[in-house]
Amino acid sequence: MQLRDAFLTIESTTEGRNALRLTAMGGTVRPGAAQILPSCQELSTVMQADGPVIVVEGFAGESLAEMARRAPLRSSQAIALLRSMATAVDELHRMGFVHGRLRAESFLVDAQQRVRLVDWAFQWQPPTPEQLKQLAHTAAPEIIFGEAALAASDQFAFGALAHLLLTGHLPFGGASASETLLATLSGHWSLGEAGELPGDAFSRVFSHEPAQRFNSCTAFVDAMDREMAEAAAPLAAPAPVAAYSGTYSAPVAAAAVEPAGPGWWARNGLLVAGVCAALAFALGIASWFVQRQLAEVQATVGESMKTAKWSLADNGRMKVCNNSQHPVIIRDLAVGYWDANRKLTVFESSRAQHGGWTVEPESEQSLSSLAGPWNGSVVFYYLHVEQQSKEYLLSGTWQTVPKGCLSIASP
Amino acid sequence: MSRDTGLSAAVVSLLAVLAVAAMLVSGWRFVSLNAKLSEARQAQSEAESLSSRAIVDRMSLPANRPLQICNHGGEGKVSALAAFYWTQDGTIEQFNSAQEGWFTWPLPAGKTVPMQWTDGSRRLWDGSAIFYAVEVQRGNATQLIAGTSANLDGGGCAAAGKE
Repeated sequence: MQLRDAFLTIESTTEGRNALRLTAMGGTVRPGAAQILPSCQELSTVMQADGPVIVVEGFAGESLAEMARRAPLRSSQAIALLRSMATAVDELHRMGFVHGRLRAESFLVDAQQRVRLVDWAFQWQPPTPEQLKQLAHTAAPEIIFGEAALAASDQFAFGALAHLLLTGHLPFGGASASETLLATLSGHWSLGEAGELPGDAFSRVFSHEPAQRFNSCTAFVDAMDREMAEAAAPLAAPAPVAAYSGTYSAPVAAAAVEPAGPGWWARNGLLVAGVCAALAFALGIASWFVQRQLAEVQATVGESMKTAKWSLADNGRMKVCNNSQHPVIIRDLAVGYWDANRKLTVFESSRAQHGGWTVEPESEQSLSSLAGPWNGSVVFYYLHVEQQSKEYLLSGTWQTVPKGCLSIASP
Repeated sequence: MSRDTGLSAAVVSLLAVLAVAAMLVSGWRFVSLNAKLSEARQAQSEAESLSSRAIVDRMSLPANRPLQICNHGGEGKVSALAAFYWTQDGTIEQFNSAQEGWFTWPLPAGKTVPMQWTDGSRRLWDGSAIFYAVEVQRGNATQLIAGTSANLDGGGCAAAGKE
């Protein structure tokens, strides 16, 4: 057997065991992994740990990724398999570990549908952007945001694998890794072609907030199982309505019969006041809740905008404004900008053998290389300027430049 | 109608008016807060979308690498430097030597010099860079070197004194 993905290779040893070798940065073997005897058979027992290689018990199976590629499983088969997988992940969490790289290649499945979580003995640093692209289909939002992996992050990945087993494809899709990550962050996932998936269970397991997910992977499988059983069961007959045989006299009817007056107020006014007061109280409580929600939402908006502020999505156009009475000489210039392939590219004035730029007083000037390939695009800028025998070094990100014109009147 | 009945009706009416007023005020506050919440949710949705876009965009930027200058020429100095780098909280900061009193770094001939800046005992810039621009001065000649950390991968350095 030989399996390989972006993080590991798995090979059979001559003794019939499986050797797992790390192939990605940021991974190490958990200290003392070979001394840990898992209390469930779904976690592979580590026989030997040596540098970036661990040897685990022999298990002849194929990876979950290969298995899912063939055809989606029947619901009952998938649930049974997911139960075994959930046992492995929950046991790992019970031991106080977080997997952090849970993916279809982490599980081996044999012909009897027995499961092994083979790579639990590795621990990982937060993924690099390159590794994140490899994990795009299973990474929880908090992982994408660069936070440390939690048990709930493993559960999110487990949810993605459940989706894979039930439908044959992963929930968050896109033409590129970036689009897949965006789909994860936006919470866009499909219920399957026929809408056959247990939507409530998946909505919860794919919650943006880790705390809102299930307590365990087993709880998620239970919820899926329950929801699928309810969907399959015929609709229950409505409960019979008890025949009404008494007489009914509502206060409103009484009010309609009895003319309103001081006597009526004395008897019913208190009731009206009480109802209004109760309503006022209830509305006050509801307002308090809404107020709290509003504060939370506003805080989230603030946080999101803080992140969004650092968007360096688009090139600006290099333009300088000289509002002073004296000419400004741009002696040296270097810029970083996105090229057509979305690669950060550098232009420097000396490389283009440009003699510099002079910006006349009270004027503005767009900068670009006359002979070279630079058309004035800018994300990062660096300018060494001279004005009246004084020198200034201007640098920054173009998104922070107000009104798209770099003022060098009084740098 | 007795006097007692009239009095109690007046008290009850007063209570009822107060209760109705309280209900109306609470209701108005509830409705206006809900309208604000609805607007805030819309803003939240837009902000999250922008934020998500920003995160995905930032993934296209290279990672921090330590900036060092390989001096292939004679003795000189780094006379000006600006570097942009990732901070731990995922924002981008910059170091500009002009803002630190036009700090300079000596460049002995043929040596590799790591760039960083320390203010007394505090290291304010550890040399990390994703985009940098450096001016190297030898006598009256100045050379501008600019690049991204992709050029610094694997312990690489920015080459000075090399045409």
